[in-house]
Amino acid sequence: MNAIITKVKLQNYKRFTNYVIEPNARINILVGDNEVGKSTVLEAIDLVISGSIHKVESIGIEKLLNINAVSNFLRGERTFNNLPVLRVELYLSGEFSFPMKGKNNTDKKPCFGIRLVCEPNEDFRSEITEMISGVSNYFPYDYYSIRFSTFADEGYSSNRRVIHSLLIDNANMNGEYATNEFVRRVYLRETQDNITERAIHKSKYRHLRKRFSDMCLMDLNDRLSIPQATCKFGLKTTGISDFENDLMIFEDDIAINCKGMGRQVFVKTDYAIERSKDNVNIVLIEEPENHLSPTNLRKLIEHIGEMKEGQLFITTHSSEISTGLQLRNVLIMHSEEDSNPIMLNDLSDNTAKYFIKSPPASIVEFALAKKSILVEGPSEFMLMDVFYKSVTGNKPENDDVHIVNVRGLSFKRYLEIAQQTNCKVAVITDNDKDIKKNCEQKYAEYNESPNIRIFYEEDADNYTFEVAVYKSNALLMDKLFNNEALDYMLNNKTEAAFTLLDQSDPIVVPDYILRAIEWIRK
Amino acid sequence: MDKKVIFAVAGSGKTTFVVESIRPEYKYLVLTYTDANYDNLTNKITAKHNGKWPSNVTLMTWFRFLFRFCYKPFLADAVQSKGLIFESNSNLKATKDSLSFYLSSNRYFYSNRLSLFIEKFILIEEIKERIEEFFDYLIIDEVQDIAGRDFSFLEKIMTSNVNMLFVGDFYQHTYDTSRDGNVNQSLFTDFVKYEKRFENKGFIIDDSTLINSWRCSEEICSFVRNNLGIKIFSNKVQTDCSTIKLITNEDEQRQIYTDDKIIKLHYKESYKWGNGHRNWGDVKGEDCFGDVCVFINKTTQSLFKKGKLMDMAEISRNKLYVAITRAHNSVFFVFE
Repeated sequence: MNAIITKVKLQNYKRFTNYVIEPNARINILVGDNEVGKSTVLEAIDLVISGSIHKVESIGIEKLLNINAVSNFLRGERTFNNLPVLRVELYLSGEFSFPMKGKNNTDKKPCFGIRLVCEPNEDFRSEITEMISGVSNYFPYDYYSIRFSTFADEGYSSNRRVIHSLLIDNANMNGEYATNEFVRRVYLRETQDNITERAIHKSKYRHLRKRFSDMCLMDLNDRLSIPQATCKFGLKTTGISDFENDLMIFEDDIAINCKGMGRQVFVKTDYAIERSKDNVNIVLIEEPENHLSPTNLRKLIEHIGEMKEGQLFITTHSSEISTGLQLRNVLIMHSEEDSNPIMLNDLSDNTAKYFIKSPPASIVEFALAKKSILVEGPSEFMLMDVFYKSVTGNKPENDDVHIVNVRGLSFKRYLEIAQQTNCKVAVITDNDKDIKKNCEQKYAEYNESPNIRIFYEEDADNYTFEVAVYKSNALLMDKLFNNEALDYMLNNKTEAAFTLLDQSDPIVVPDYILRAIEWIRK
Repeated sequence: MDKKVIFAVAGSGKTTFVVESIRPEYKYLVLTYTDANYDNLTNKITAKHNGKWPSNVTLMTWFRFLFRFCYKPFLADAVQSKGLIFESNSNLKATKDSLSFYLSSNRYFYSNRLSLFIEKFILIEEIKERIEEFFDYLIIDEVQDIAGRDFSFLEKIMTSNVNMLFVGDFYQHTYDTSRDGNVNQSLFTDFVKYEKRFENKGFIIDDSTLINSWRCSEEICSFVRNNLGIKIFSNKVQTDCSTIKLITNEDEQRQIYTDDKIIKLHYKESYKWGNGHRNWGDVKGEDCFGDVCVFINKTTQSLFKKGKLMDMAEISRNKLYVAITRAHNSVFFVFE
């Protein structure tokens, strides 16, 4: 069964009031700053597929329902109908039967899908109305109903699953819980078609434990002669889940919870990828770069890349993962509330290839930055901090300005991304003695993009960065580099830049760079 | 598209015919009106498939079809109905454009109006598309049970682009639960006109394949033909032990009355007579009676004597037909 998620809609779920993701059919890499809700998206997908009311209850509606929605309600007109409703909708495509298809979704179109809806319970309308109309800031979380259903409004629960997910949470993996949960899920998945087998395992295990208590502890218990007491030793029980609690997965006779964190990441991810063929449709992986060395990370990326079926969602902060698994699979999540993610799958083939071949460490950072200055060489890159500070009195990072050194004049590759992300980008480039060709015609296609501007020296004689710096600071340069200072600077670009960084005299910022800095700050 | 309606007689093996027509390579939606026949079909289809339910067959009762397949996927969120009630709307002022015409104050649909609600508030084309997307065949067993507004709705979906096989017995229409005012009131008074409604939708009418009863003897069948005017013939080998007769001798009556193996059937209120007594119409679809004792009440007695039972009110006549044709063996009439 080849089921995939075509759209995820989150309404009043955690930090999102209204969020839509239309994922790729195969690989989805969610990147974004901390706290933009990458994990929240993964959790939401996993939660809906699980169909487990128990899970929702144990998290608690008060933690799931968007805080702003609650406070807006309390501040506004407090009527039953104004109470916020939490919805998570998964639009699906695949071979499903009719109980999966219907118009009971916010798109109002007949689609396959499942959803979680938490809303105030209509049966308690009068009680709720009475409670919310008081002066206190009471919010009726306890009167919310939790319901999983299909778009045909048929009940959906864990034992009627039509789609399977596996969440690998590497971010919180140091908790024993994560590993136990993983083992439990693998066990349940592998026995899902054979409930009898599960029952046999459990009952035999109970039996075995009882036998142990009866046989092996007997002598000890006989020796215990607590007067008139019926106390004795035994094995503690935590209910019928004893078996699942004690279950562990072994790799080469070593329990995976005894292995290093890095190895655990591997075992889990490998399992998910292997099973993606038949038992698991949706694989959700949180931050696989945690606990992995660079070499192992590369191996893991290779493994994931080999995944032939199933749909993958992965959250990461690693540029290597984003570029290694093809940049076009990246979904960039913004911190601005409810701005839907930007898909890099609209990148042209050439640009995608460029970033795959030479993944610059800065690519994800660039895609996430609100403002960037692109420069074309190490000397510009080194001096830009000083220039920025002398123009603004500020460090660039304090103004959320990101400076990227783009080697080999690949500005256009970056600008293609900027056109998708709409972030503000100033390009600082040399005119190389031909303004028309190198500056005007070359970047003509960006004239219409208000978020992109090209800055260059308007005098063709000032053909490169060093010349411009020299002309603006001739006295200082002659003092620093003696006779033939310009020649020295041109022949020793980075050395010269170092020297400039080291000295304390003020440097006059060349005009085109000054304009770039002023524009980007606006 | 192959669309066919087969009119059958009692005991001719309608349900078996339906079950046998199911093939593994198509997807079937099978509908029937009553819970009793739903159970019956469930058992027979499961038995035919070695005890396992075939995954290509979806069986629903008519109202489940209306509620779950037609209403819920489109309007569950908007209307939030909790289910159906099998009674009529006592609010006579409600108009067809308002929800209160269809829905009780605690959000239950009046069963006889759900199909009209669907016609009015959901595009019939969307319902048809839904049937076409998920099924190759629409089968309706006991199609004669669908009446009133439900029949109008059925006519609308008859034009869906899927194969259809409807099977029914015109004279076994004994329910009136779909009735709402005078909608399709005279649907069951004229067999020819009834057949025409299907023909108009491109159906082929078959009233010859299933007119032989495997259950009833020729003696019983000819009684039904001559007295009730219903074309039913027997497939059974002639035997001497099957009779159909009026019992007037009190000793014989007592003997029948005390014989637990003989089911006693009344026009109505059989509960007043105690165990072993049932109503004519209630035994529809049942197939486990050898001898049957049919009680004739005062009003029917004169028609019986004149041999003019076919002049009974149609529903009553149909129920009597059901009662008589339950017998594998003999039918005894007793005047109440």
